[in-house]
Amino acid sequence: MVITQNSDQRNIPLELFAPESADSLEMERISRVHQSAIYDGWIRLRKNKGALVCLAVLIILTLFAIIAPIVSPYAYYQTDYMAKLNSPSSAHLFGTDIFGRDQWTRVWYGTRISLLIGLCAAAINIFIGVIYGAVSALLGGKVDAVMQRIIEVLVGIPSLILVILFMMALPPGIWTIILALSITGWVQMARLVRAQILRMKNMEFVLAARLLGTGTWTMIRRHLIPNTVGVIIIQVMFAIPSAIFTEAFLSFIGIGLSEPQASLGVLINNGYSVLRGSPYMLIYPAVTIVLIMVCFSIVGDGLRDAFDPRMKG
Amino acid sequence: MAETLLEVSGLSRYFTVGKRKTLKAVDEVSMTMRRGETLGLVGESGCGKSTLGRTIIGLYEPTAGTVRFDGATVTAGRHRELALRMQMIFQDPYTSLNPRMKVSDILAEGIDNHRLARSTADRSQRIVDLLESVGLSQEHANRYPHEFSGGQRQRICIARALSVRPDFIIADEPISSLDVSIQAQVVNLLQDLQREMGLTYLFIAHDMSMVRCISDRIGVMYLGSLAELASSEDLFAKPLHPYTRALLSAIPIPDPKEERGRRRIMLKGAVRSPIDMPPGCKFASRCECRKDICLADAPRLREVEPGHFCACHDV
Repeated sequence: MVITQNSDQRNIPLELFAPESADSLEMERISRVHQSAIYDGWIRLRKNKGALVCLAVLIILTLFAIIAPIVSPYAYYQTDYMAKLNSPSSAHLFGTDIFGRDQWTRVWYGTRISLLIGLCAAAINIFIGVIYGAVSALLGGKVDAVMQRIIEVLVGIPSLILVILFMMALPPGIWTIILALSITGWVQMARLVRAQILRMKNMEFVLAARLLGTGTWTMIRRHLIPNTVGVIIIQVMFAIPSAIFTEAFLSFIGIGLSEPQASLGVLINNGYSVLRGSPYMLIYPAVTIVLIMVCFSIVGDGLRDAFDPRMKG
Repeated sequence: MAETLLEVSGLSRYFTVGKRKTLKAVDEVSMTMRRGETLGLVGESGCGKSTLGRTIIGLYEPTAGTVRFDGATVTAGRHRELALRMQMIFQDPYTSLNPRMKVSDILAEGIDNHRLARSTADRSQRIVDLLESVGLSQEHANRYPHEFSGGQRQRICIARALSVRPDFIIADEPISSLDVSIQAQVVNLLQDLQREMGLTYLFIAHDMSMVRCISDRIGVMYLGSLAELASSEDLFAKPLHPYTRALLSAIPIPDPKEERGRRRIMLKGAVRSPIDMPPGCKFASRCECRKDICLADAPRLREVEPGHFCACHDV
């Protein structure tokens, strides 16, 4: 068999063979269609159903937090002593509290305050943490050593004590809480960014940029920060719920926001005191805070997977 | 004879390891390079080839010695001024491109840093020219590095180095992480570019046959020092240093009959640790023709024949 095949092949006239086109540009073609990085990331995020659902939940919660207190016929501080501790009804969707305030309005108002605190605290954390970490890693040597000792001192003191001290010293209010949460919140971010940049500092693309004459600030902005974005996003997605949670905790033990202001923590504290008679007072704010915390961390994971170009299949 | 472009004299770079121990990564290397030539630098892993390259270009501060480039002394860390004269191509094309930047921005980095482009149109024209000079096309400009193959990435690195129109390029093992078919492509590209733009290369590698193909002169390094430096033909025709002879005998020959007949020099003993070296020749522990003087006194690189330098007591 084999022999006949061979002899057959020998009989094929040479003219029938044509050289395979070896167009050099054709060989360099990348068949994948080009898309912008953001659209690309969105496509991959869309495949992650869990993250999508959580993103939707977060968007809905945020919309409610913005719109519901405005649309509602009741103000969050408006009391009605004729309607104390009403169960949920068509007039009061989530019922009323011991002063007859509409719980529906207060839950959404509280969500708004909690989200605001979380976002602001996280924004301040990113700002301080990224700059501190980047400077520490890039300057290195003695500067780095001193900056790291400062961080260690901050970490050494339990952050709750610092936060509580701060709350005592300043007039109560949202901005005091945000400031207090930022006092120690940036430390984790600074450490992560420093570690990431230390790792990258001697990678070849950074050396190549240095050889091209790129200055320190451009280096941070163009090379180092974009490559730490993944870590930063994850950290932010943990920082927001943790700030919300710390605020809730402070309000719960009574040193957070004061009445008639509402945050989810204040509402949970109020609900806790009437738990037996009116469980709905606790359930609605508690469910909201749980949704916020869970959704943020799932969306955070999803975002990291979606926007890292190295994860492309 | 063409003018001298680079003059390295007594260049050393030591690293401190632990307490009071020094690692002599580069130890008193002296050499000169003419404009337009290619000097191949070979040696086994860890012999200081890359450190030498990085010290020359100012990424590392030299412990001793000077680098003079085109008449001016090179100061470490002053990359803004140096950038337009010297560039480097790195070994690993996977880590030498920023994964978050488009190819167009990677190529334009040097152009932007030094305001070389007169207008936005000029900037994009330069990017297209660079891409075409390394065999890629305009449509690659908007893509990210991970979309390219290893060979393509290495060519992008070459284009990036060329973007500031340097005279001198240090190629730090630019082909050793590519597969063989792509290696030839990249080497040919480097040679074409050298002809077109009159570039000078310091070509670091450990593949002898590839170095022979691209280099005018070859330097052999052993544990931080130059063992032998000669023109390509001389070195292959008449290797003087015992280490060079051993290296050359390890190159495979395609003809099996010839391959079977020849004698390979098998080095015995291990490479010495470069940390806290004793006096004497660094190669003495593995040398076939060791004499007493080799253990006492380190040989200096001297011109044995015109243009052929060797550091050995035996020649």
